[in-house]
Amino acid sequence: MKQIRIACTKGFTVLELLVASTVSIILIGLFLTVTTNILDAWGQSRDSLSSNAKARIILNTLSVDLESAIMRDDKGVWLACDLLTTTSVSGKWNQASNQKPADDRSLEIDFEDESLTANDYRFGVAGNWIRFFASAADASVSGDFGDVNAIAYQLIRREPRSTSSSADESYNFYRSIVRSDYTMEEVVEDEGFFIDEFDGSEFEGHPGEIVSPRNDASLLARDVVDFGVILYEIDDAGQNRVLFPKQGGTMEFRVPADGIPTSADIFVRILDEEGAKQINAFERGLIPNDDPDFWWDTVIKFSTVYSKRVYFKAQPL
Amino acid sequence: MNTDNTHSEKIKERGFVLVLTLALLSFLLLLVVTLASTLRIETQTSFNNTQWNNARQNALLGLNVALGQLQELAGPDQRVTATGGIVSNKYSLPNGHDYWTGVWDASNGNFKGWLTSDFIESELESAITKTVPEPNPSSVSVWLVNRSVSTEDSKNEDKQISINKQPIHTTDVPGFSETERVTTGNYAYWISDEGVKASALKTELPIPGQLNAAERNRIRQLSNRMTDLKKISSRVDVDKTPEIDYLFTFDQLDGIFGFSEKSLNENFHNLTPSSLGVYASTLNGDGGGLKDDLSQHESMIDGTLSVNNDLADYWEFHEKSDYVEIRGSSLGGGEPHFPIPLVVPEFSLRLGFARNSSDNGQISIDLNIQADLWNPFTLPVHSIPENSTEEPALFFQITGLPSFEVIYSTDDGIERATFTLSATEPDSDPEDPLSFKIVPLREYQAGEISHVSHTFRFFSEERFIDATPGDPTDDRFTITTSASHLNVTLFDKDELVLQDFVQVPFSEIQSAEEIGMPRVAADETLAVSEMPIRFWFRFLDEGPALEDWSTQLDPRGPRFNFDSDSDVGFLIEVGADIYSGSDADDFITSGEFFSASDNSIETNDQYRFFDLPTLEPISIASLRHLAFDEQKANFLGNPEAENLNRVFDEWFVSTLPNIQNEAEDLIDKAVGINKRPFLNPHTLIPGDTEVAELYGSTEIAKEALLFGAFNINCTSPEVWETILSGNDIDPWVDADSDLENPFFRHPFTADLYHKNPTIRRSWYKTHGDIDWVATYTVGVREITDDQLKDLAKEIVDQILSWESPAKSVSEFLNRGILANAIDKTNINTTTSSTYENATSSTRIPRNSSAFLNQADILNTIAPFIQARSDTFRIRAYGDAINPVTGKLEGRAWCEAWVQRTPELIDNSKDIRNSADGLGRKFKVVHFKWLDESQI
Repeated sequence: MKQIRIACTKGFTVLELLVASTVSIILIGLFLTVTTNILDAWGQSRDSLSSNAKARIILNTLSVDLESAIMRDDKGVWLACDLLTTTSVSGKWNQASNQKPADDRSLEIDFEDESLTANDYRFGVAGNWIRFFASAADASVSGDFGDVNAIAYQLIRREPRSTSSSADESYNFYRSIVRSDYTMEEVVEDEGFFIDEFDGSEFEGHPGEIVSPRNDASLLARDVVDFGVILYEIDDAGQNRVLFPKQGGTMEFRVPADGIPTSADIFVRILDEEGAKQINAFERGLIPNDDPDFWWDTVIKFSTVYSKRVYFKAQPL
Repeated sequence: MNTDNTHSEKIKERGFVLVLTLALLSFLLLLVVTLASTLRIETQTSFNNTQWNNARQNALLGLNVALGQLQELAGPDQRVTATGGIVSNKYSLPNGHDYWTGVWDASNGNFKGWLTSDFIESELESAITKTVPEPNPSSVSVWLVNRSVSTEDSKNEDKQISINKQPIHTTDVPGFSETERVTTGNYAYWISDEGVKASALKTELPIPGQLNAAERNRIRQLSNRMTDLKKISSRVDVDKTPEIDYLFTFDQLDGIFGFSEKSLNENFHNLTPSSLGVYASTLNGDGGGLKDDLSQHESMIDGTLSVNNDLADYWEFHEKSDYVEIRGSSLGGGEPHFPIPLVVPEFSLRLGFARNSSDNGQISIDLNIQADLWNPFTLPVHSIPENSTEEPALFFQITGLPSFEVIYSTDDGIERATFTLSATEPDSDPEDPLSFKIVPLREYQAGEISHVSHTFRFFSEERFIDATPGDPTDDRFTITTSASHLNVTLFDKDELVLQDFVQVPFSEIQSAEEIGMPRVAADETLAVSEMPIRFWFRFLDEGPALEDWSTQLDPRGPRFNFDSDSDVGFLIEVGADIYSGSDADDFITSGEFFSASDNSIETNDQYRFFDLPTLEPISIASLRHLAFDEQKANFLGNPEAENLNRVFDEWFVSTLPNIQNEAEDLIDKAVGINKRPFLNPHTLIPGDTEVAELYGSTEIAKEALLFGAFNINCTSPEVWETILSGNDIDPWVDADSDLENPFFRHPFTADLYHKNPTIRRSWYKTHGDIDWVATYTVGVREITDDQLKDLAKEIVDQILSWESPAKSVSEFLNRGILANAIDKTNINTTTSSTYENATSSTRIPRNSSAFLNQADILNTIAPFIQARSDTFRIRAYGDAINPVTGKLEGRAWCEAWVQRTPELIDNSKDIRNSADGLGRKFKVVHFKWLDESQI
């Protein structure tokens, strides 16, 4: 009994409690710091990896398609590339008051200005809209008419899935592939290849997707806020010379009427998650800011530009 | 118990921090592990992507190496290509090696290399016998053609292509010494020769230009305008084939042409979407370089043949073919000739002596010229200009007649006289005492033969007094002539030679007994039957002799020189005699061929031998209807032409209109990406070429390409069968005249007398014996599908028997490959026996118009054949190897369609000259990535 009493009288002193509390706080703080740092790093890595993955998908798919592009030197239109300074082409662009500016702030294509880097290039409010004919890598969608498809890449601000709400609206990058039988039927009717005259229904594999891609199946990646293509030809000295786009030039390019490119630099600017959240919040009016440059400032801060040079393997006779 | 509880609580209190610490640590650890996993997944994904990219880059490396080898070996003009099958009689080839592509030097016949990654540096032809192990992922070899040729029934192993991989060594690899060569991947490639395949894209196009319906129909007779894909696959509905020219890939054949997958796979090595050729010659020396365009003959310089006026007139003849005038030829003006003569297949000169009934002492000498005049052409020819009212006239000039020693006797005595003919006949040419005018028909229908007979009277200068003028029966004579050589020439009124028989050898004539001399009035002449002295000659035309001269002479002549050409004397019968027959014309009217007994154009006895171009010719094969000085008929294109066949290598025919506006109009109206705007459907004008730049003998060859080019070194019977077919015409002229597998002897006119072949074609091939008339009157031959199949097989056997490719089209023709192959079939017999084994009575006479010969086949294929290929398909493979583990990390396949172009690699040289060094530039015209299932 005595022993028990003695034991009961032995408690924590204030000092012990203070020390214990201090140590606990230090430990928890330490863990919290480490955890926070790890989570931050993880978040950044996740963002980076996510962006990298998106970029890899986009650049690989686009380069495989462009490498297989078919071009001929005739009166047809074998490849069309438009730098879109409006958002009306697809008819699917969901407008927002604070969206990507449709003015000169979204246009910087002075490639002769050596002070500019790839990170500075801007290719219009809706980026480049490129479409062409190619032997598609994913020929399984081609039906029974071989492996020549009309293909288009386009940037549209809209909800990413048909079931999404408007709160999810984002800048989505689409790859539309027209089934080979529809591709060829269109050609036969027009007695030639005219990629810029495609229209039609917007269901799977139909030519209408060139202009107005469906959601879901045609979506290649989200949070792509800019997409650009610089087309080159080789001049007499064997050097690359920019064919399109040119500062002060037309915003449309047609192969072969405007030239036959030998290579292309493709650029995609991809927002990370944080950037996507901020842009989404800004465009929904949740971040009040009247600065007209805020959209691009945010994008520059939270985005990465990926680029790749692609060579058109085939050339017309 | 309490003690234990208290102790336990104390323990719990103390463990709280530990648990908290452990929990936090666990959380941290979980976080780290999760992140690491995520990073690892991402890293692996990135690594895989990198390896995939490396494999793709290695495949592109293979493609570039392939392009380099192709450029180096096949870029120069003097290189020909063929598949490995061409040496299959010489070597035992492993599976698939029949489809390797080889390159030979046309200048010396040396082998240059096989176009695969296995033998980049080897010039050893026998390297093709090297076996390649069956591929699997870890093997040293790889499939480059596998499932592409497999069907549900068979893997078709003989059609699969496997190639040994070539390692790619890299230095400065992390983990290895800086200089160590480490294998980081492999590549392989195989180059397919697309020119030896049948071009599926060669489909019928609308016929351009201002042609009427008949001419549009006729243009199909000038060449094979399309590929009969039914010969490849019965599932192909050619009638529904769209008028397209935009196929890019083999896979497109599926949907557009309706090939079954099985058929497509089985014919992987037989079909190509489109083979294009450069208009360049593989010949050495002056014949090399870009070909001359005969459509631009005004600016051509001479080659193997001189581009003389006759050739130019022939080429432009179609513009005035509605009314054809006979025209002579200027002899000795070089080759070729374009005479439109009336042929003299039979000729006689008769002489008789008569005493004038007025008994003025003069003896008249009556001379009679008889001849058959034959229009051997497929159009009516006229002896006077259009709308002319003048009397037609031709002139026979006879020189070299012997002197006649005539011993004239009456009961009063004997007088000896020697006569030398001198013309006093009013119609004869006073400047040329032995030039006799005859009057031909105004118009000779195609193949028509007419008989002319004119008698001329001369008088002896001496007078012979008959002491008993009241007794005419005592006037008799004997005659002796020395042996002589006559020259008999038929002139038109412009003194151009139509026919010229030189040094016709006549033996001496000596009458064995006295011949009664008739008395005639001064204004009368003797009847032909009263003219006993006869000089004559005729083309032998009975049975085999007819065949002989139709193969060894050109009846158009214009010159038949008995002195210098032994065949002339052999094939033209000559006689001089004292003729006592009652029928003066019997040798002319007898015989089965050159009988003038029936001139009705409604019969089938219209022997049309030579075509006249009613349309603009579209190939060099049309030159066969020209005459060549002292050469045989049916000459060019057949093996006998030998050196002259070089024109098939030197020249081509674009049919570019001579008027620029017309050319521009045609090009503007042409649809599609492969513009074939002209009459020759094989002339392809790529891109937006400026029309003005096309004019000039070789200018168009700088720009244009040969559409549907076919390499005659092809060793596939199926392909040859397809190439030779595709010219079925249904209906042809009317609903009852469809043609199956036709080959035209008279491509410009066969439709004009189409009833004959329609009726006759069943005659010469089903009767036990030959119907000679039928064989010499048709303008087109049809052969059965079975015969076509036999012919294709025999052609390939002939090609293989040479064990090396033909180095030029002329070499191919001079080898007689088509001619020999024809003889090994029953095409030219009336029975199932081959020509070689048939009896003469069942053989169609050689070179009769029903006889299918090499030049007839050439008419069908000449516009698109060449001795090399200019379109190739490269399949390249690349893989990535982990340098540490040696494990295969990524694989990639790609395919490129490559086209040789007229452009030179060395652009400082003249593009028109023969391309040496690296030759003419190859371009990748289509590229795609493949996955393993597409190989």
